[in-house]
Amino acid sequence: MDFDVNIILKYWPIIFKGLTLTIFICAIALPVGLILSTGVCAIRMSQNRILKALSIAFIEVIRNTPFLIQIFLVFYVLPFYGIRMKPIFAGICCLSIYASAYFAEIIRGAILSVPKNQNEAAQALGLPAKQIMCKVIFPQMLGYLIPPMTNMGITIIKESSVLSIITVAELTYYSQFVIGKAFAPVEIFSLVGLIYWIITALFALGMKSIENRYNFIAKIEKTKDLIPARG
Amino acid sequence: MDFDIGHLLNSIPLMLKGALITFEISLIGALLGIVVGFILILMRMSPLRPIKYLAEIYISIFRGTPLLLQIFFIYYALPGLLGIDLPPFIAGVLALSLNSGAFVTEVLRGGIGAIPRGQFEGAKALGLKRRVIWGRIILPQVFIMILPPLTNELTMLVKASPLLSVITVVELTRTAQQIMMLTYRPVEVMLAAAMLYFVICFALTRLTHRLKGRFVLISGRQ
Repeated sequence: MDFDVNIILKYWPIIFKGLTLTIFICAIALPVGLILSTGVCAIRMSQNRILKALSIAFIEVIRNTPFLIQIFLVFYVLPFYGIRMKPIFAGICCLSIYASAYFAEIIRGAILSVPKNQNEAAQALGLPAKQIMCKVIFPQMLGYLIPPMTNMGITIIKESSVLSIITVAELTYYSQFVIGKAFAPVEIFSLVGLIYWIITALFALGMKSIENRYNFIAKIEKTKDLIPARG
Repeated sequence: MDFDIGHLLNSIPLMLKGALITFEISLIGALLGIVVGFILILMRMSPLRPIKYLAEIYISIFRGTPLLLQIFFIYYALPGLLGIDLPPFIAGVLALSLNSGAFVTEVLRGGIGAIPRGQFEGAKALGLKRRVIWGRIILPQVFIMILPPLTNELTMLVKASPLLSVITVVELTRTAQQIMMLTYRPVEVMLAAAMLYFVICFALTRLTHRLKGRFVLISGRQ
């Protein structure tokens, strides 16, 4: 079987349409998921027992069920209770909620990774809680936060392909559409795979540059050498 | 629409059968994934550059593209390329294993990297053969160390396996869809499926935690 470049050229506009929607979906779901996750994480770490239990239940349910099942629940079950959503809207909602549960645990892990005595020292200095969080904990947790966030972000971008199953017209959906027309699975799937690979690689690259800029841990580690060792 | 617990209970026996197949698929996928991961790590440690790059490219591709696309490729495109027809089940399990291998190899690498150099050096100083060093000293330690991430990988595969329903593998999700078509009670059936997935995955997550705790006890390492 030959690899026919003409097919790719011919159907590129359709694939491109799918690509823009995939980027659109991710560009909404990732930030919304991040915002939701800070809320979920704050509740998860709060003192209120009931709210805490609820957020734990939320996180565990989302993390322990397949994404496809979550989409089906929203897409097939909710209409029976009068909630009808367009596929794309349902898809973006699901993806954001899915992302929020994972992000929340990543943020919690990062906060807990900062040594406890940092918090204690800040409290002993009489800093208000808000300042402790923003000026002491947050800068130090970035080193623990960004690498897992990058991984999860890539997972979310890849997971967006599942939305094609509920007929959201994104990249994977159009790839099947084109294959139905042109019957060239090798060419089209290779092209679409390459596109996803480029998107995730660019995302990883972008996150890496953020990490390099704000990785205070590495900077602190560097300055450690400047402080003479005792004894 | 009323929630009918009877429908939910009626669908359970069939769903359990589907759940068993889901678990079977995931387990085979995970075991073959370990084999693929092992081959990849061997390729990565090879002194030949091209073999090394080949492994890196493989890992990059399988980690950077959606699993759904990989499943489609193996099911729809591979038969045309190789001239063999793959039944959905085989194609699905193959996709899961090949995908899992790309992730397991990182776990293996982390495990081997965590073995203190002294173990290699000590074994070499004792004049042990390469085969004995790896088979009797390094790999048993690596295996205990990576048991928690490997169970985690199995959980990931259970969560990924619903995608096989798209290429008509009759596992839990597909079973649920079929029951849904017959009874038209999506609420009960989908909730039952979600609960079964939750039970499997939650049990596996707990197991991972326990293994992690045990590992820290055995080795004293975090």
